Amino acid sequence: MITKRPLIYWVKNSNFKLQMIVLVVILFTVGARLVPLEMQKLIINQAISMRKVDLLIRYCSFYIIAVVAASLLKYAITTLQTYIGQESLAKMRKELYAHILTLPLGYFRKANPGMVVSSLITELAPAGEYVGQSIAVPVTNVLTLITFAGYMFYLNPTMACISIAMYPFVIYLVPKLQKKSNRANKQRVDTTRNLSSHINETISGIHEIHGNGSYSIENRKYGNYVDRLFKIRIVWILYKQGIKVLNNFFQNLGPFFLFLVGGYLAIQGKFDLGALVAFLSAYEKIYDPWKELMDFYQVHNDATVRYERVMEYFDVEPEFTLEPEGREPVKLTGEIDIQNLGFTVSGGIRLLKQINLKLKPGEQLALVGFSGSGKSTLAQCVSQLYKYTGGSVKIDGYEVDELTKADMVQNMGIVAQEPFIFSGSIKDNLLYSCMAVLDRDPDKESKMPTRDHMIESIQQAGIFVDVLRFGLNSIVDPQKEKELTDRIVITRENFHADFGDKLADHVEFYQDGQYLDHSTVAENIIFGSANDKSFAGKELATNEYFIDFLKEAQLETPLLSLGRETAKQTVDILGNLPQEEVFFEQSPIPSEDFEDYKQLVARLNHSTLQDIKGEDRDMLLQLALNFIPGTHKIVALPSVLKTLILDGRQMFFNKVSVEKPDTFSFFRMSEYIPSQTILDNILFGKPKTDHPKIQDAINESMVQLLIMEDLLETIVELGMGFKVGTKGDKLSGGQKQKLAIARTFLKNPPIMIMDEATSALDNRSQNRIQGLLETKWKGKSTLISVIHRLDTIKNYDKVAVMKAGKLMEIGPYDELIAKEGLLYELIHGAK
Amino acid sequence: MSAETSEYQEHLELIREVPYFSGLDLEAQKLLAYLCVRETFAPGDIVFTAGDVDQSAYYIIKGKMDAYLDIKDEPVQSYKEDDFVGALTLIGESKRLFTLKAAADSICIRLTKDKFEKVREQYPELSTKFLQAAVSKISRREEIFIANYDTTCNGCKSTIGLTLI
Repeated sequence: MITKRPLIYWVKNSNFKLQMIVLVVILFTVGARLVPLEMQKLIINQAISMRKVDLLIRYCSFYIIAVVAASLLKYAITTLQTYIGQESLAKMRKELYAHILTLPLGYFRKANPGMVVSSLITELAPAGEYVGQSIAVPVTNVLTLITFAGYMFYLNPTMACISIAMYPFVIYLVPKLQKKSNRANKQRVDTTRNLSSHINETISGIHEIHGNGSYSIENRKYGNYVDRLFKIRIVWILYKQGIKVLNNFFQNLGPFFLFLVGGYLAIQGKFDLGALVAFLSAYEKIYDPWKELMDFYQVHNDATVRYERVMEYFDVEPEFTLEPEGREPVKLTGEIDIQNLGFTVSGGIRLLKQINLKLKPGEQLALVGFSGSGKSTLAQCVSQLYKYTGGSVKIDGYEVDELTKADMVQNMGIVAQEPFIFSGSIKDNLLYSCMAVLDRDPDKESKMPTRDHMIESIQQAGIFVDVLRFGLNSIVDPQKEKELTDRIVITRENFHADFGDKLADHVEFYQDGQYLDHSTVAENIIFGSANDKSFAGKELATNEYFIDFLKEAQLETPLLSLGRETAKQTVDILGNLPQEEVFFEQSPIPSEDFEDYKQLVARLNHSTLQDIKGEDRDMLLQLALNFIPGTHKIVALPSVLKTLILDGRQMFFNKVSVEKPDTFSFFRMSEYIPSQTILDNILFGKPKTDHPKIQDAINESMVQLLIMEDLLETIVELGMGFKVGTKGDKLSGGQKQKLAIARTFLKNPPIMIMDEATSALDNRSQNRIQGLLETKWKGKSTLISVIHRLDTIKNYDKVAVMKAGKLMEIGPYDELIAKEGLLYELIHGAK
Repeated sequence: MSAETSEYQEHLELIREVPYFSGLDLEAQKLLAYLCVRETFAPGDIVFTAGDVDQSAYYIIKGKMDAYLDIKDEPVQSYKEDDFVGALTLIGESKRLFTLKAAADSICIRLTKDKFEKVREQYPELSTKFLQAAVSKISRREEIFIANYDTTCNGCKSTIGLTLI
């Protein structure tokens, strides 16, 4: 298990080939570092003292070559060590993540997601860095140290001893200082924490301070903390700097002795000048590897501590093995036999007691009971989500406890109480269960469900209309999808002939001469869409031609004013909220631009419209042009401005028709509008409300029309590409549940576990799904369904009633009702 | 530029008067007002049906609405302008016990549970304030009921004691 591995494991198992290359490179590097020293000596002793220019040039050439080579080699080492380190880090991250995913569910109830995130992302990073450095740094620096020291001994043993004599002092003193510095650092952290909690308290109690006028008291309290922190910080910094100074001091003391002794020896003629210079250089160069070794020591400490903490945190055994060894996953028919099942969690709490229960393949069981009775827990024990602690659960004679995860997922589909939808498209989520099973299958391509299968399953789960709606809300490019858009225009004509009058109250059709409350201001002015990119989307607000027109039509100033008002109000309401879908649905400012507008509003403050220049002006205009009075209720669009815009629309049409006839396509019944969704294209307008009843009416008409044009599957397929957002944010609770049901139906396993799977659905959908289970799956899949609302359980083969972890009664619905036992009490209330 | 008030501003003024929300910070009230949606109903339109789990509250700005029981064609209760209907479904998952129909052209603002919960996440004090208001409303109802209690009425016996649940 990964969590048992010490940090050194990763060093041993890092990229061996690269580590060897590093060692070779290091040898060359150390050699290259020595050359300049020897050259220095030769330059002074031979070239300069003998006044030979050719030697000078030759030695200098060697010198520069060695310097350049040393730098290049050093760079090569760094590159290699970074690669080794990052490669190990990536491996650590992947393996740890794989381990974390297999940890028991119970573990995650206690674990803090923030800790998991920081473990994988920040805490492991130093360990990777350490693995990278673990060979390169100590070897390079120790070798360099030894080589230089050896070179110094070769030059003059006495002087070498003198210069190295300093180091024991440093080795003795530095850790002492370091300890003191650490202590001060800890105090600093504590005090800073106290200070911030104090600030926190003051801010939340600010009304009390204002009420009492107790400014001086609070200033004094705060002052005390700051003063304490001031003292601690000074001590801490003094120690920290002290270490540096000490190191430096000893380093600088070296030359003093060298000059004294070396100078004396040179004067005596026992030591030549070149050697002295080389000695000084060597001595100075010893400092760098020394420092790097000290840094490495710190990295080592830091990495070990953090790595161990991370591994300790996740040091839990997974409850089940993932893959079977030496055999294929088993194929089950779904016969379930539960005997004396018990489940006790920490603290000795018995969640399930002595449960006995048998199901034949294809039988359907409804698990009911009071809340907290253990019905979900029972379903979770059968589905291997929890490891039961007593008794046995056998499927087709196999003990669930001994089956691997692969065996289970091959044969079981689970719809959880709160199903989780991952970011990606509807299709990705729909195929999620099938993908997981087929992941390792070599011919998974051919085994994947077909489009028709997918559509069938979304119909069964009742999410078809929603997916259709997503498809209708997508935008297609008529240049790429000419055939589709042509047929949409035909559908539009049919819509207006068949449903135009019926839906006239709820759809705002594109009508010339009328202000469109459900379209943007820009669409109201242009009354069409731009063919030229420079007039489309965000470009419009900065397009010179268009701005000139706005000025001409007297629209610029009122629009800027609208933009300013909108920005201010929106920021006022949404200013401090997280960027969640719900909050931004009705917001004139899209969530991705919100930060920019927040800053803009802060800048605007008291400036007049005339003062606003440049980009700020563009942003406000942009906001105004995208304003939709029917959706953005934060600000009212003045009726004067509407009239001005309608006049502007006429002016714009006249102007553009003459000056730029091909730049825009205006709204015409016979033409596809590229900038708008399929739905708006068919409606040739916009729906006025998103009230469910109206939406239903529109959807119904769409289904009819699309079937007629044979477009239904095409549009649904577009809808399956809809991106559901992180955690399925863009779907409602009901849609998420239906999608989860659809993915299990699509998988079509021999055993289905549904844990209150329809709790977020309305009565109609619930009954429909129930009906399907009874007609389509009865006899084919064994079903265990945990049910909270009791109106759907009549047709189950068996009903099991649970209370306080025990199975109180089990049998067909009618029998239990006739018995007037617990089920009767649950349904009709206690007598 | 103009003195026209936006729907949001109108909503905000109304929300501030609703007992469930009146004790909240202005910031929370603003967010609620912003998230409410305006809806119109023609006479006879159904707002919700008994058995629905529509989880929305309605503030009637204009018009009239009647509540019906499945078993009876006569309305059992009427609601008019400035009434706030159905707020209890914002918490929990209970079904509608009545059917609500518009009796005249009506405009109301609707707050759904999804949005209510998002606001609650941001302003947790909403929970307490909402429950306090709900409890005091229920208490007040039973007080009135007790004051007019008719000991001869058979059906009343099983309903008395609501505040003792």
